Amino acid sequence: MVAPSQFKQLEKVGNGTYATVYKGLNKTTGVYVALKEVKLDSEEGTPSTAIREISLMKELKHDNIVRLFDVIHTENKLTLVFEFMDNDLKKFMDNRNKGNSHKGLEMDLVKYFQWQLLQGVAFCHENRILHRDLKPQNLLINNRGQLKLGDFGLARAFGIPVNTFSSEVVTLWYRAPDVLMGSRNYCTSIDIWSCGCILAEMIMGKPLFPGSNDEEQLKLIFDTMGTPVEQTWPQVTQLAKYNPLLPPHMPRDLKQLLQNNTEEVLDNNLVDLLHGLLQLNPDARLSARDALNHPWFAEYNHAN
Amino acid sequence: MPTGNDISEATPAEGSKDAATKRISDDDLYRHSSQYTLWSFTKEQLLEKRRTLNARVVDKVNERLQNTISSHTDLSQDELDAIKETAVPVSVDEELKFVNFFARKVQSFCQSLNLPTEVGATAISFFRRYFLMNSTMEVHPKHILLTSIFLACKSENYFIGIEAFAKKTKSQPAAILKYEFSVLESLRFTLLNHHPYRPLHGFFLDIQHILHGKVDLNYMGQIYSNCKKRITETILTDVVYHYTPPQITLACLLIEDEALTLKYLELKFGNVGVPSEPESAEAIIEEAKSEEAKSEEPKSKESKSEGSKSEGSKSEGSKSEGVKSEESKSEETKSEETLSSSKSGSTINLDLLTALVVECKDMILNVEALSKEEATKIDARLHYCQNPMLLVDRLRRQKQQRDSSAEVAAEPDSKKLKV
Amino acid sequence: MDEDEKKDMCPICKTDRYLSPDMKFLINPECYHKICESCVDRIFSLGPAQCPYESCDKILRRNKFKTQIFDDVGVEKEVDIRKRVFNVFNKTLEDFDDNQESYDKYLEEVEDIIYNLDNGIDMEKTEERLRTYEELNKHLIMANLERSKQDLANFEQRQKFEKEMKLKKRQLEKQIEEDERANREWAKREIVNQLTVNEDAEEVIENVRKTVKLKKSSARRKLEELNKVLRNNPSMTMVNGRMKKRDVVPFTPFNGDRDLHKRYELVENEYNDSFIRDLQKKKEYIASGFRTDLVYNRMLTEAFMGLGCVIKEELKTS
Repeated sequence: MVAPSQFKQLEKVGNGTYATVYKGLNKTTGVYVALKEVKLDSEEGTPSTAIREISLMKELKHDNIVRLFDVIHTENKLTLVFEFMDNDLKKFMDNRNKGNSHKGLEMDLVKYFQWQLLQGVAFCHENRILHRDLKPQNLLINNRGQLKLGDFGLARAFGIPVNTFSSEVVTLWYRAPDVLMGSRNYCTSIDIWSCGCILAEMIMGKPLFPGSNDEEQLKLIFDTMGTPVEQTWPQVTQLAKYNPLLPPHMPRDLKQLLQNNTEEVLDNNLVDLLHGLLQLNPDARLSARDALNHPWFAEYNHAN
Repeated sequence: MPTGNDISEATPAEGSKDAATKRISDDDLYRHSSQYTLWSFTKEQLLEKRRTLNARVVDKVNERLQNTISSHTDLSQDELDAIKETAVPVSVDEELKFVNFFARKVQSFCQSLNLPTEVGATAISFFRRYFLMNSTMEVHPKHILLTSIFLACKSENYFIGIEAFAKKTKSQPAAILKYEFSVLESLRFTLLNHHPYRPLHGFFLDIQHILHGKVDLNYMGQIYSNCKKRITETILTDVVYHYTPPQITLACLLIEDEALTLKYLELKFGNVGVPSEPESAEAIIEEAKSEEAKSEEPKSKESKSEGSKSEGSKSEGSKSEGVKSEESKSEETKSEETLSSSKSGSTINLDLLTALVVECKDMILNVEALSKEEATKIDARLHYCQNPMLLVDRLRRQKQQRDSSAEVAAEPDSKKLKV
Repeated sequence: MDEDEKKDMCPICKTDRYLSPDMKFLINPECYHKICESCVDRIFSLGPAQCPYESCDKILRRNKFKTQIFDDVGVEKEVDIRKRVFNVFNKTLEDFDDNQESYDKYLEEVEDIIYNLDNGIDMEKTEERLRTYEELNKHLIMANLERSKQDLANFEQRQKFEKEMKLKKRQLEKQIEEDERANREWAKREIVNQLTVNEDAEEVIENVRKTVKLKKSSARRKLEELNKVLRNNPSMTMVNGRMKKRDVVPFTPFNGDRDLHKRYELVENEYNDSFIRDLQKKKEYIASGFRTDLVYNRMLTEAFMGLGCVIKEELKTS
């Protein structure tokens, strides 16, 4: 246990799903940390989101997952001491956009970030943990270009997906179509969809499907990816919020769509990977492990 | 990854990465878990842990008794004798049994709340781990009981609001929340448990494959549900600290059907080159069926009376198994090999595994439970250790009553054990 | 009769090429005696027979006769022997782990055998040597045969691919040229059109120029991409004129150092798990991408995860 006085609280860095995050300085070691302060609700005790995050982060030690060092308890708050990261992907991309013009990241960087993102996700899934809130804000970056998954406030362990989950997960723009249509039996594929949205966003410098409500979100997705039918997605019509009145759309050319928004040259492997991540039918989506084995990552996969 | 700022407990995971040639196996993944790094011990380590804890608190209790006695100069000799006799600190063994007695109460609470099996198991595990770090002489188990369950519900995503929870358990929200952080801290914030239920499901599948066409499928279903119950029993014992979930599962399978389990292990991990063709399919099914008939008897007893349950299976087990475990133990000392060969983490040494599982089984069958009377006695001692003057007060009250009226009020020896 | 005349006359039936220009000579690798096709048909159509040359007692078969490729029968013979021996002794440098010295030694041995066979030295012994080697190295020989076949196929495939790409490249280049011409014309027209509504000539020109820039890139991008593909064709590389497939390390979260051996084998049809089977049939589960193989894998993995950890040994404080 560490004394709370060991840390000097510096500026506020941001807001997590259920807490405020400050930059902190470990006075004994001189190392910066991220201090996530959780208000203790006298009504329910420690918030279950905090309990969940602590529980999962204690088990996950990986280069692409932000480390939880310690938990400190003071009168009315709980402080989670995390590894400090300089930036998050959202801010990192925002800094490159000047005014209204959007600018994606250089292709080499996109690839390196996506590789690390999928590494972290694969490790979570190996440890039977779903993140359930992957988005640029929750991907932390440091000055060495490392990317780590953070904010496990919505994460949870999964077994057989019999326990129905909430469909109120994942920030709207990164939410998978099956979840949007009310699926409560989702599994690892929900994180994969988010990875696909993030990949496209890194290329274009702006979100791929920026909907403002559930209906609009689905519409945006189907406009681009095509409207699902029973042949491509068995039993899709059985989902709680399936709308039979949706106008049928043919999939648009994803490559062209991206190409219109970037100066980088897109190669077919990239587009193929993106298609694998953004499959409407969750069963057809790639696994994190498959995605990492995709030819687009050939340079990382070869031994030398 | 930055190193200097690692202020949490040391992680063996980092160290094992150095060996570049060694590949990370599923076993290594388990070795990364907090259940292994923080909550697994050798028998000696566990005993030492409990001894140290007990000794530290016993010293404190004795000091407090001494202080009470010296600060109350008006104590009569009778009262001093009573204190010496009743306010006796509890021993390591008594503490353990007392905790387990209450762990069983955690279990029945979970059952009456209709909690999922895994949530109940986690609650029990929280409760028992808490008392590895805290003595019953400091915090009475009854205070931790509901907090453990409440916290388990939170961490296992089976959330029940505190009001509803308090109402269902007929308790006060404040009393439950009061200990929440203390429990979290004692658990060192490691809340993720690996229970043997999932391995059981896996073995249930793999046995069907390895003994394909040789086992009756309905019978397998029965074995599965019996084993599930037995696993819940093991959560209440120290095997969870000494063996890994798959090993505990196999021990439970061994108790349920020894012939079937041994056959499975032999075909699975025996000399891989020549798979010894077992007897005909019918023979094994027959064998299994007769086993089933044998085990039918104690089971029906079980359902009749809660109390005789452990005794029934215990005597049966120790009779037939005593010789066998001796054998396997000597085998084990002879062999210098490791259970999981280092070349490829996936291979398993059959003899060593069998010995380990038999050892685990014996431990499961040899658990002594505390009777209610014994528990009541320990409870009284804990009560008076904490507050020796309460004992004096009671003695004086009794004396007064005796003096004032002829009839002796037969007040119960201590306050009732109720939670 | 001089040598030249001899060359064009069948020594058996004395037919002359001068009189029958269609005549063909055949030889049999048993003795390499030259016989015309019609004689071969005549003599050997009923089965094996002795060579018609005087003082040659070899028994020849019809199906072993072949057209002579080299004028010099000696060369023809040596080539045949080489072919036969190399079909058996078909090791490559790789089979010696790139150890040049032992490979050279092996080659010398092979040359010895060829020399002996060619010159009739120690025939029986040498044949025996060849047979023994073949017997002992059957597997390796088969594998190497397969490999050289594969190499050839890969090479041909590669050539075909490159040819196609080059064709495409030319087409693209042509397309770019045409596009640009069309664009220029379109821009001219557009500028005129827009000037009728917009007064600001400079702005119009700037706008049109921008649009043209965007349009232009389509074919160009394709070409650039094509060049990239040609530069680093992902899975194939040429090594000393031979195709080699690069070894791909399977991905694992531990950067490739994950032990991928499983302690179980997934045999879905042997599992009688009514619970999972019921889930599998539920429509909402199907729509959510529920896959039994994933669930079974998960369960089986957990059954064996930690099975090999012996706590009492591993955690013993030494």
